[in-house]
Amino acid sequence: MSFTKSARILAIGLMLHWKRLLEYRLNLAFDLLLRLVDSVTFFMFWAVILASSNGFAGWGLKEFLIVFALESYFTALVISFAYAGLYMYERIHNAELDSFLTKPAQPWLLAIVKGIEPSFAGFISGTAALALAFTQGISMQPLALLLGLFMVLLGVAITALFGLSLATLSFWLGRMDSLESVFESFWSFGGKPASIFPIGLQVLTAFTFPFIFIQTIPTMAILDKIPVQEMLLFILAEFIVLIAWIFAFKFLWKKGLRNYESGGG
Amino acid sequence: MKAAAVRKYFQAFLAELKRLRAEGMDFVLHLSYIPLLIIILYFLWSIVYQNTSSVQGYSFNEMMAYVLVAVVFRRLIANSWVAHKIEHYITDGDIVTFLCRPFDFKKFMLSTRLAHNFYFGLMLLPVLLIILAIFNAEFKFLELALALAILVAGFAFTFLEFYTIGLCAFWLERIYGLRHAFDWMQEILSGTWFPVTLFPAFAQQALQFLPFQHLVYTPTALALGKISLLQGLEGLAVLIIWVIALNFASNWIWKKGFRKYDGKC
Repeated sequence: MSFTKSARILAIGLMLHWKRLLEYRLNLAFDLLLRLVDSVTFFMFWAVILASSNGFAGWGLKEFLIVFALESYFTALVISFAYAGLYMYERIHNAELDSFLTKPAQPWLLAIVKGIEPSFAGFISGTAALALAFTQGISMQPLALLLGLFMVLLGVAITALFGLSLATLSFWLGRMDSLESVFESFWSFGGKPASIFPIGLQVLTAFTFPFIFIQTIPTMAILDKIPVQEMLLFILAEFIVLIAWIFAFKFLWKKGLRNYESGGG
Repeated sequence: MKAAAVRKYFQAFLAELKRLRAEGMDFVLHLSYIPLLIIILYFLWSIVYQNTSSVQGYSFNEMMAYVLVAVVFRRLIANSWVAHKIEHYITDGDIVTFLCRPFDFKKFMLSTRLAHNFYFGLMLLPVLLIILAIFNAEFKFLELALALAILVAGFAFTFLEFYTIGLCAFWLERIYGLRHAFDWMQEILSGTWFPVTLFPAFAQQALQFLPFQHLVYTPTALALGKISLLQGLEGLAVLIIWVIALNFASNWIWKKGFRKYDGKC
């Protein structure tokens, strides 16, 4: 199936979900409430940690403001799209996949389109954090900021593929409610500088919720702590991780479908 | 409640335990975030203690013992899944099937949820013992018994809290934002990430009137000998008052919600 057709299906799905979101406007208020709570807890947490330590590995509130902005964008996109892929495990187990298999489009894409949950309040909190940084006179590199946002997009794709690949386990293991817990457990690495963790953990997160690519490196580049050229190397690394996941997912999907028995994996 | 009714819900509890045992692997994976969280907290607090030997009277070992026991205790009272489940029952229309069955929906949900957390408790007991051994933490019998009583009250509180949030799906299409807003807020305000004594004085005063700190901080600090038995009893009393209030509130919301429910939302 062509990329244009896939993009068109995704756009139609997004539009339908957007209409549903407008119909149930109250949910939007709760989405905003969630982001507000997220902001308060994030800064409360770091205010306590920073007050308890004399410098946190060279990171201060300025850095965490940028980290928060990038994480907000990432969170908005992950909740909107990546969970839809993860929840495919339910469709596999409930044999809902059958109806997607008979349609002239990629079944996994249809599963994502059906499961989209527009949750864009993160864009508001992220932009508010960047605006606050700007008004506080924090000097930011515009090019690094743009590249940082691009890295966030790539990171969302990695996380979505991680979720989709996890969901394929249902082809073999049947009902797997714990997949959501496994998926979300990697979220705990968010909001913390990746440099405080050993290299093994940094690599592990790069393949799941790639906070090193979407937070640590962009924040350092935006605040001019590393040159933008160095950022390009990390974008390349992020691309490699993404491509690795595309191959891994295709492999798992193909093998899983062969194992699919339509009545519960 | 009559003995026959107790037996009925006890059977529901046992049936859920059997189901959990049958899905052992899936269940164990639900706990996958705990080792990751422990690793994250270890590295995080290691950085904090690089330049200081004590934070608010907590040495590194004491802080690690606190946060690790807190993570385990928090898991034992976690109930946000209840809201997720009820949301699906309501939006999919399945909740009407419960009306045809000879039991009360709330009590049935409580029985199954008790089975979950009881099973988690059994599995997490070795984790607790390992934490004690590694960080030389000592539990005192009387304090531990009271801490367990507070955890039971905490479990009742979070069950009723998320049961009530779940019932909001009668009016809202999705309660994702509301559920997570409460869950995240509770995580930090309950003292899961650090003792609430690390909050500024004004925040601590405000927290005294809320039940959250008694969910995790009070039982953890009590079990580790950081607060007195009297403070523990105060925490238990606060929780019991909140449980009674929430019980009335949830019954009222159930009645109101069902009046407007059309079976398919």
